[in-house]
Amino acid sequence: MIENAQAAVTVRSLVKGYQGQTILDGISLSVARGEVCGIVGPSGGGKTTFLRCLNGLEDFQNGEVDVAGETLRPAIPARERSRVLLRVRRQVGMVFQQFNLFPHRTALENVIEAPVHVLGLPRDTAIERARGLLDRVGLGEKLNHMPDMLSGGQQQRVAIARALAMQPEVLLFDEPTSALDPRMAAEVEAVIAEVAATGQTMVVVTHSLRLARRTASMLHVFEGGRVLESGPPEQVFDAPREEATRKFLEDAHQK
Amino acid sequence: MFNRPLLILALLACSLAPVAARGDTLDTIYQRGELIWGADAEGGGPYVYPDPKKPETMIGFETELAALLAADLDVKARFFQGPWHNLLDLLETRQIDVVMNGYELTPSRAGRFLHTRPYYIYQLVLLGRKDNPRLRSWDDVKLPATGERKLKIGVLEASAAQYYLEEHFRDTVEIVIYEGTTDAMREVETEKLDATLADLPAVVFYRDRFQALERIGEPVGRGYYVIFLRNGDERLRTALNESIGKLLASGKLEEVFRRYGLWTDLQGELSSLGGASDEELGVTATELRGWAVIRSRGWILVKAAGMTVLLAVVAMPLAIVIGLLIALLRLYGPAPLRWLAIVYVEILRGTPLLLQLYVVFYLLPEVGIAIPAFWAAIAGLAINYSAYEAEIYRAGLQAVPRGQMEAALALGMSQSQALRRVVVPQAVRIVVPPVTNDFIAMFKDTSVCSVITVMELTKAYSVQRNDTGATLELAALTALLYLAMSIPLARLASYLEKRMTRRPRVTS
Repeated sequence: MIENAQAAVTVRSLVKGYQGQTILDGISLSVARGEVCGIVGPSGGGKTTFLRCLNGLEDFQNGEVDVAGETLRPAIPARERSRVLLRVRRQVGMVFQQFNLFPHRTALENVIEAPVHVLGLPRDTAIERARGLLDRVGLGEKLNHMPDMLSGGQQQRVAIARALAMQPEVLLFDEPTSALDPRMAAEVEAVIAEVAATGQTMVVVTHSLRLARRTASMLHVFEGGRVLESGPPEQVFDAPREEATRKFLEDAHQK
Repeated sequence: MFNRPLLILALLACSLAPVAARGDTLDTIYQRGELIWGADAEGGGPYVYPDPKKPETMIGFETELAALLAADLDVKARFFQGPWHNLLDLLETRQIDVVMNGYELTPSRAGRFLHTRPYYIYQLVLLGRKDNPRLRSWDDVKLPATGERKLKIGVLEASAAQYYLEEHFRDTVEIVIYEGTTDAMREVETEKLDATLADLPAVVFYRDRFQALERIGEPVGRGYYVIFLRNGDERLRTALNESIGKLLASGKLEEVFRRYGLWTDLQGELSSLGGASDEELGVTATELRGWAVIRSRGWILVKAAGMTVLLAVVAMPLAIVIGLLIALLRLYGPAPLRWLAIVYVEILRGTPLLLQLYVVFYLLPEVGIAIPAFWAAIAGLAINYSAYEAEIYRAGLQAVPRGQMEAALALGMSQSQALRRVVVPQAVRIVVPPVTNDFIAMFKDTSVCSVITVMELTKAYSVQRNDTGATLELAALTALLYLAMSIPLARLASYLEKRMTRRPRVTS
C-alpha cells in the first residue's frame, strides 16, 4: 500500500471484531483526493462496517484511520475522542441506505440544519446554499415538502444535498440505491455520478455493479473482512486477478 | 338472556324488603346480645384510643360510657372502627347501631338522624404556640393588617370547630381542614398553622404531648355531644336516654369524666337536659336538599374545582420536564447517573402517591424543610408523575429509529445537540397521546392531596356532604365538575395530537 501525502483517507491494518466474530481482518487502503473509491463484495464482507469506521460511527480494536487531518485509533481517552469525532464528522459527510432524513423537518430544513447549527452559518446564507443544492439534485420544487411526502428516490436526493451542504472533504455512501426500485435508483445514481464528476472525494459502498462501474475511479472487493482485490474498475470487472473475484462477479451478474 | 326491567324490579324488591321487615334496632341488639357503636380510634384520645399498656384493647371515656350503657341494656358493647367523618354513613348502611364519638349536635345532623340527650357539654379551645406574639387572645383573630397574611387555623373535618370558624371568621382567617386532631396540633408546633381550634377533651388529653402549645383566650362555642341513631329507632333512643339519665343520677358518668380530667362545672347542667328539645339546645333541625343545597354550597365546589385545575395544570408540566430529564439520563447519561435514574423511577413507581405526599408534607418539616400545603401537593404530584412520564419518554426515545441519531452525529452534531434538535422533538410527538392520558389521570389523582389539607374538589365535596347529608345532589354536581374539566382537556389533547403530527401546507 502506497502512503500518499495527497491521500484524503488512509486506513492502516483496521481490525474489528464483534461478539467473538472478526468483521474486519486487517484492512489497509487509502483514498486519494478527488478519487471516487468504490467498495463492492458479497454481503457480510464488512463493507458497511468499514465505511462506518471512517467517521467513527463504529469503533474498532486495532489499526488507524487518518481522515480530515485527524487520526482515529482505538485507545483515545473518552473526552478527546468526542472532540476528534466532532472534527472528523464536520469534514466527512455520509449518505445512508435508509436516507435517515429528519421526518419533522421539511426538505429545506433538513439541508440547512447542520450548516446553521454545526457550522454556525447565517440562516440566509444556508438557505441560499440549500436552494442551490436542492436545485442541483432536481428538487428545487419540493423545498417545503415533508420527507414522508417524497418518494424514496427524492428523499435520497435530499439526503445527498444535506451531506453536500457541509462541503465535506470526503463523502461516504452506504448502499445509497439498495432501498430503491430500479427507476428511483437510476435517478439517484445520476445524481451521484454528477457529484463524482465535480472531483468530490467519495467512498461508495454498493451492491450495484452498475453504480460502481459508472462512478468509481478505484475499486476494492471486500470478502470476509479482507480486501480481496483492488484496481481500476475496468481491470477488476473485465480482467479480475483473483478467482474469488470472478466468482463474486458471476454471482452478482446472475441476480 | 336477562330481562332488564324484570331484573331491576327484582333487585329493587330485594333491597326494599328488608327495610320493610326491619323493626327497631333495639330488638336486633337484644337478639345479638351486642351494642355495636361506631367511632374512630385514630388520634382518638381521650374519646376512644388504644390502651398504651395493651394496644389491642381500647380505652377512653366513650369506651367506658359504651360499656356502661350496654351493661344497662344487659348486652355487651362492641367497638366498630370507622373514619370519623364517615361514621354517619356507616350508620346509614346499618353496619353500626349508633355513632358515639364526640359527635356534636348540629342543625343538619339533627335534621337527618335521631339523637339521644347530651352526654357531654363541650367547648372549643383555641390552641396556639406559647411564643407567638401575633396570637395572644381571641381579639387577635381578626382581619390582618395590610401586608400581613391571614391567620391559619386548623380544624378537624366536619367538626363543630370547623362550623364555628366558618360561621364567625369565614373571611378573617384561613381555615385548614385536617382528618386528625393531632395532625393539626403538630402543624401548629411546626409553625405551618398559627393555631388549631379543637374540642376541650382533645386539648386536655394531648396537653403533655404538645408542650410548646397553650390555650389562647377563653373556650368558646358551647355545644353538646349526643349519640346518633337511625331514624325509626325511637325505642332504642328511649332506652339509651333512660340509661344516660341513670348514669348521671348515680354519678357514674361524672366519675368517668373526672378520671379523664374532663369534668367541668358546666357538666352539672347535663342532668337537667333530659327532656330538652332541639330548640332548647339551641339547634334548629334543618335538612338541606335538592336545589337549595346546590344554590348554597355549589359555589364552594366550583371554587374547589379551581384548585383541582390549578394543581394539575402546575404539576403536570413539571412532571413532564422532570420525566424527560430522567429518561435522557437513563438512556444517555454516564453509568452512575443512569443507575440513579433507574432507582428514582422504581422507588416512585413502587410506592403510593399518598405515602409520598405524607413524606413531603409531614416528614420533611421534621428535618427543617416546611413546605406550604399547596406546594407540597405540587411537588408530590410532579415527582410521582415524573416517574411515569420518564418511562413514557424512554419508550418514545427508543421508538425514534437509531438512524436518526446516526444521521445527526454524521452531520457533526454533538450527542446533546442531536438529542435536542433531532431525537427529542420526534419523541415528543410520539408520546403526546400517553402523556395527555396521564394528564387526565392526574386531574383525578389531585383528590389524594386532600390528605395534606389541600381543599380540592373531592375534599370540598366530602366536607359539604358531611355537613348537609345531601349526598346525591353534591355527588352529581362533583361528577359534573370533573367531567367539565376532563372533557375539554381530552379535546385539547386530541387537538394537540393533530397539530403536532400535521403536515405543513405545501407552499412551493
